[in-house]
Amino acid sequence: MEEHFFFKNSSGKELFGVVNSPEKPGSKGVLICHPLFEEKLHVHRVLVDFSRLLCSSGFSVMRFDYYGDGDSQGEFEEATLETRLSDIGSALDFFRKKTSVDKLALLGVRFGATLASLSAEKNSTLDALILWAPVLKGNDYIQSLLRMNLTHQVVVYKKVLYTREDLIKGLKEGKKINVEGYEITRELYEQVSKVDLLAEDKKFKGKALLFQFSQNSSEFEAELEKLRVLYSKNNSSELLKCGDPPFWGDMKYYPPLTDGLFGKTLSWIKTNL
Amino acid sequence: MEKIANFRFENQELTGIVTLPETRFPEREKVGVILSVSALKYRVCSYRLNVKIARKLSQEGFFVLRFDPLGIGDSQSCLPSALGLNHFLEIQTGRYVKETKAAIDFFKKEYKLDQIVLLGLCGGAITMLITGAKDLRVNKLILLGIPVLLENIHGTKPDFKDTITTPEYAGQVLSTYKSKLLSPQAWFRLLTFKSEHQTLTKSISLYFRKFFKKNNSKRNPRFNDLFLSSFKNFIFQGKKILFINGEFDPATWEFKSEFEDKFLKNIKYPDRVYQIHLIKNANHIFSLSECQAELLDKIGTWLGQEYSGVRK
Repeated sequence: MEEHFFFKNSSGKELFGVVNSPEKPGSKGVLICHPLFEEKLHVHRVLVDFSRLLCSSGFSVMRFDYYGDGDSQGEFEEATLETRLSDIGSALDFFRKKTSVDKLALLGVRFGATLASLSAEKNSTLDALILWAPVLKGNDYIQSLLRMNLTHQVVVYKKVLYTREDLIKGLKEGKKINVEGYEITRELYEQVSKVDLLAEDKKFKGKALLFQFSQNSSEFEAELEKLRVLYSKNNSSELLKCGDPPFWGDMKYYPPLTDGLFGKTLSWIKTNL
Repeated sequence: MEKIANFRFENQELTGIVTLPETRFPEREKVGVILSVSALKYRVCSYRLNVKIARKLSQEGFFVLRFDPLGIGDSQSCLPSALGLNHFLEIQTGRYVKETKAAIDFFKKEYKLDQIVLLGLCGGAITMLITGAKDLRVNKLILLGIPVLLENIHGTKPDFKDTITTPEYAGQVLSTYKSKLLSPQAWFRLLTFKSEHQTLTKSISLYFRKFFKKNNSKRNPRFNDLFLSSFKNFIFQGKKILFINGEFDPATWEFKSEFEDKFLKNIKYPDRVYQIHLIKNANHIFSLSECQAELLDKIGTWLGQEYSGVRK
């Protein structure tokens, strides 16, 4: 059964949520954290399809939109890294009460995986973490977003009116920067820039699965392997590879090709949760 | 206030959100606006444009429904995996029309509405135009960045050069080559045939065509006939359309050269049937903040005039 609803976060704001409950509800559940910006739109159906697959395998699953994202209340520019982490906490509470699951995994993709990883550091009740192509360094990520603004300037004005340095200066002065229609604020910029998943040892004690997407490379990325090692100090962790093309950048194929990803993740969850 | 709106279509469930009016205007109490998905992106649309439009119109006293067709967003069923371009071609020829009619059924019945306005962006715009032409219950259309040429008539990914169809687009392509004029590497690539010769040749020939005011009445082979027949069908019912286009959107340039210049100029009393609003500096999705603001304002103002009234 799939149920759509609005629920309140810790600030009393309405968030959109979806719970998939199996015919025979079990004690295991997965909460899904979506990425930000246009990547959210591109991965939406992948997360819907994977939620339904997990549910048909006996897991309860919840998806939700952070405040200012998707169908939830608020504007994108009102939300920060902190509000999103807080919303994950609200969603976990709601999910537990609604389904009475007691073994829980967080699954995130791209910056949603980053948020899941950060959330797991603060939440000792989580049992597993699944990170699909996590953004490891917030500063690299936010710089790539600013590059999109530069590209847009070239299309509209035929030249760059504001360089990346100008944009950063403007952000620090409190101006908002438009990236594909979304407004980045100083607060979001500063909070995301400070994120570095490799910076210190992990407090999370559960099991972790990391996914790398690369069609050509046969080797694992060194930084993802480093993150896996950080998790392995506390519990078992695994780094797997998906040979399908990354599905968060565009909609070249619809639905995106994700056979390897779904099968391997489901198999890992069955074994480890 | 927003409510989940799940309704049935061909024994499957479609998912949507209804935004209820925040302000009451007597003339708008029975008017519902349905927002289409833009092709394959689900009901919130790029940068949550549909959410912004829905909330803006609810402040103006309208009911708004945005929903996902089968296999899109949270709705049931699955589409077979295929190139996005192939899906887009099907959408341009009416794939979502039946679902949109089901949405009208649901919306009218559930909220006791007697006026329906359809609004869509890009693939959503063509969906709404085709639906409006086929369904007499539709009263007005708001079409954003509507494509008049079919994306891909052969079901394969077109060459980049094939997407350059207007002098304006050719000018944009050529401007990217301007910075390379003084680059020896670029000239080396050109002279050794490593550059995109066909793209360059086509762009130059198209760009300079605009200086020779030739009456080009020949129709582009990719022109979507269903677009034109739907447009005629809708306006012959005496119903109104608001087109909103972006200044820097290739779809706008095609709209002008293939539709506005060739067909619209022959329409008598155009003010009675359609209005075209061009937003400066806007791209296909109106993403700049000032473009978003103008877009929302124009939609609100136009609908407000069409359903003018005094706040209760």
